[in-house]
Amino acid sequence: MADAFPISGAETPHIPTDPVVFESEMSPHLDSLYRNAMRLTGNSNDAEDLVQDTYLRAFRFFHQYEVGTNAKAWLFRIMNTIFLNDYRKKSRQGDSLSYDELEDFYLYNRSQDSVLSAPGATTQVNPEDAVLEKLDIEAIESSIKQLPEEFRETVALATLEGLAYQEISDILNIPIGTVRSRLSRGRRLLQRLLWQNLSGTDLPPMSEPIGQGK
Amino acid sequence: MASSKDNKMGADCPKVIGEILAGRTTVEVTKEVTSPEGEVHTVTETISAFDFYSCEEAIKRLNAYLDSELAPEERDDVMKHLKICAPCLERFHFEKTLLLTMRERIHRTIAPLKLKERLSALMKNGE
Repeated sequence: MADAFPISGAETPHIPTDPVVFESEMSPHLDSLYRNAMRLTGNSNDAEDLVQDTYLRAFRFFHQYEVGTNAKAWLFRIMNTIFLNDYRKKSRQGDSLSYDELEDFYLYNRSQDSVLSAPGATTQVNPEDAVLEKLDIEAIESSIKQLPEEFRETVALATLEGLAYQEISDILNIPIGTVRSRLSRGRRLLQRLLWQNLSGTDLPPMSEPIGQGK
Repeated sequence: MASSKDNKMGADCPKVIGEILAGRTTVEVTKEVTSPEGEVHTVTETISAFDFYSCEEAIKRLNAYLDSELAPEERDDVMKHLKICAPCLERFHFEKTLLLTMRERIHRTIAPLKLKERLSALMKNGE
């Protein structure tokens, strides 16, 4: 995989790229690239630099891009490689939680609980809609940011960018089974973080059996 | 892990699911199919233990369902479950809405104009 993609090959023969073709293929994905760079670097200065580095490298290696394949996935793969090599600060390993204990449908279940805890409120809006209504961009972004690094990109690429599992596997250079398992745990964790950010509560302990509706 | 999941799922799902899974009953549902000529017909299909997912099996496929990563037959079987199981349908629907809501809101963040202009200028100069 690395061979097919000589990221550092300054000595690779330079095949001229047509700027017009390049722009028409690549510029529709600039916003996605920028968002991804923001997630990776966490600040707009580094994000802009990372987008620029990605763009320049894509320009240089445009002859390797197969027209008709997903340009966004191709660009993301370049970005991820540059990020890993040049930008990534030493990773802090999160404390190992038992992610398998994470409840399915956490947010949905909490939305139902919140109705039960407010019996007087005869709302017209259903509780799920009320939760979704509150979900603003800040809550989403900070929840994604709070995800442990191993889950963050996989969850973001599938959930926010809508990339296929095979594309994510290529971008992050991980097996497709790992994409699936990271998504499974990462999305459950994301829902806890979303709820935490929406309700201003701390996470309940992982072991607490919550939402065991009778 | 599996046991707590079973309890949770069993709680609010219709009894008929257990009956189907045990082979004690079958349920008829209708579905719309589009013919090669583009006409939509309503057909009746019988749901039996033969190809029916339990809640747990359906939920296992939630992510792949949301991401359109299920094989067509698997997707059919998930849909069959959702036709019978209103609580799962509601939860799946919520998950889909949640995903689309997040995607739509996050896509409001766009690259700064000056970055786009800078890149465009760089490309015009041929790097």
